[in-house]
Amino acid sequence: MNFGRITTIAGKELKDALRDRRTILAMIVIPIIVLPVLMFLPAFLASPERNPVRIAVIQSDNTSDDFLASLASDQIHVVRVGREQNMTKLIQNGDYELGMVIPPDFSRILEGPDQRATITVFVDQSSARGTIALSLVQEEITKYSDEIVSERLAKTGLPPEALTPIETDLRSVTVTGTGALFLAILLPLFLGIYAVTGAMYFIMDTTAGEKERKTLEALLTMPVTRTEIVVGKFLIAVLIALVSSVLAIIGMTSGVLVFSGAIGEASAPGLSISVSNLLLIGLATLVLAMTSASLEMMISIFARSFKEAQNFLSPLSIIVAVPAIAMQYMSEQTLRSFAVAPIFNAMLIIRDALLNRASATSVTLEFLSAFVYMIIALAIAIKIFNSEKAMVRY
Amino acid sequence: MASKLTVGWPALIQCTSLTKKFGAFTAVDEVTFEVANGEVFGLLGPNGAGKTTTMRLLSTLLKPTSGTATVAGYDLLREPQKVRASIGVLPEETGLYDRLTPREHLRYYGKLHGMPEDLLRKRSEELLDTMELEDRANTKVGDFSKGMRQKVALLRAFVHDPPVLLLDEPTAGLDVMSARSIHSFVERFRKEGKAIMISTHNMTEAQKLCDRIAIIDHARIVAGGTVTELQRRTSQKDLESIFVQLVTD
Repeated sequence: MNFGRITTIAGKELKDALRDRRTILAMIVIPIIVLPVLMFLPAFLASPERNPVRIAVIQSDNTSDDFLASLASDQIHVVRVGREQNMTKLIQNGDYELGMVIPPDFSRILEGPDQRATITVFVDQSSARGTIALSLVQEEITKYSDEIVSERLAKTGLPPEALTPIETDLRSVTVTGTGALFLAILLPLFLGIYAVTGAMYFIMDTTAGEKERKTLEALLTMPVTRTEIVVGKFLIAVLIALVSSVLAIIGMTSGVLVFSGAIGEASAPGLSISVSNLLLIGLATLVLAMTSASLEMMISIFARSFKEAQNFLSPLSIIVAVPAIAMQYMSEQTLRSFAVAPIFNAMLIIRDALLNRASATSVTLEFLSAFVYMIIALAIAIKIFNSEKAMVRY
Repeated sequence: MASKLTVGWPALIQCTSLTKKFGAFTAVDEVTFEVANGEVFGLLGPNGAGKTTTMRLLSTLLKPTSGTATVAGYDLLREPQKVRASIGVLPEETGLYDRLTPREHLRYYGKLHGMPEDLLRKRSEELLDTMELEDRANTKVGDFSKGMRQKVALLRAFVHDPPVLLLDEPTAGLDVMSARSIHSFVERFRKEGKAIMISTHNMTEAQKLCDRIAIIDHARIVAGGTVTELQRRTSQKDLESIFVQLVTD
């Protein structure tokens, strides 16, 4: 192998890729803009903090004024409507997210020791805003109801414990905060998807595409070895996948920052990652990029045309999500037995690093297995490059 | 016939019984010829006769099933890397990168041939100038006409100043002016002592450019020699009639 020639090939590939709008789109625009916006915008728009839910209320008399006053907040706009209104229509027309009909003599019923008032609630649970409105309203009703329960209990002389004979005392053994847990679910998935999709277009273009456009034929008559060609192209594929993964992290982080508050739980509280764990995540991201780039090159070189390569490779972007999702539902023991599976290994390192439970032995094993897969895939790619049947159309 | 196809001294291209089979189909059958320096050798034949396969064998894209060849003294099978370093190839299709400029193409391929930076720059400018491409040297070739693309592809074959040139259908589908400038370019390098092999089915081009011709049909060379020798042999005057007679015999 001559490194000068590899650098020449890699340099040309990079220049060519940076001039290709489709590669730029996949590498930069989608990870940094499109996906964070797609991910956070719906939550942002649905958020009651930004955009309070509107509730229509039909009162039979003014005995429920006190209850309605406690219901209204920054997130809930209460609008009283006339009794003649059709609740179902009001909600279906989109004027309100939820409707309530409060029975007459509301406060008097509650004052009694053993009576119950029934509030009829109208809601479209197939809409995100409707569900949000329902949970907000139910929360407020429970709060109000609890107050009445304690008042009633006080009157009978029973202590509040009488109603909750068993109490749960939750002791969390989570090492890290919920922010890390949130990232431990999302980061392996996203890094996996970007490692696979970020350089996919470039790889198809530089292998099957070059074959189809016959530029490869000219390249193969140059005094370069097939290994040098594969390695040169591979280096740029890894670079593109890596850039797209890093931009995806930046995109996701800025997405969280821009839209946080809208989705409280996403704003990563309790997240602190040590430098060594951060380094581990970086390395695993690199390994993920290398594994998927080598795998995609192997498959794509085999294809006769760009379109064929597209058919072969597209499913990968969905398949890669499988280990990331499965990881959430597998027991630790099962997970360990999958630790050397391709893609899975790097995702596991990222997760363990985020949760601060990476052990030297498992990380070594996971990295080693990833390198073995990469070498095998590259060796097969070089073998295909050396086969005249696969490379030259007669 | 063989004597007409060999030159009798160490030639830059020496093919001996070169054969290529794709499964049961024989694409090139026992082809023997030599091309000396300062000579333009034409491989003339109908479509599918085996011209492109012969070119691809000599450029190491394909491995011969049997027989052998040396190019610039290097054996096709034993030293393919050295063969590739000694040849300039114009493939059947230009195979240019649409997003690169002519100057970038020459730079890329020159560097792959290990040319030193200053020599490469000088050579590129000189070649671009010869083909009157200097005005468009920084335009991406994706915007080029067929003739201009062909010129760039031809320059790519010449950039490292190789002793042997393999030009597959160099003027196919080009307008008269583009074809003429490619012809004069080939003439110039013949004078410089290169061994140039051209495959073509254009009789006028063959008659005009080639010192010697091999007529290939159904994978075999059916006749070879100078145009005069072929005229004498077939009692025909123009190359087209010679060709038709030899191919239909």
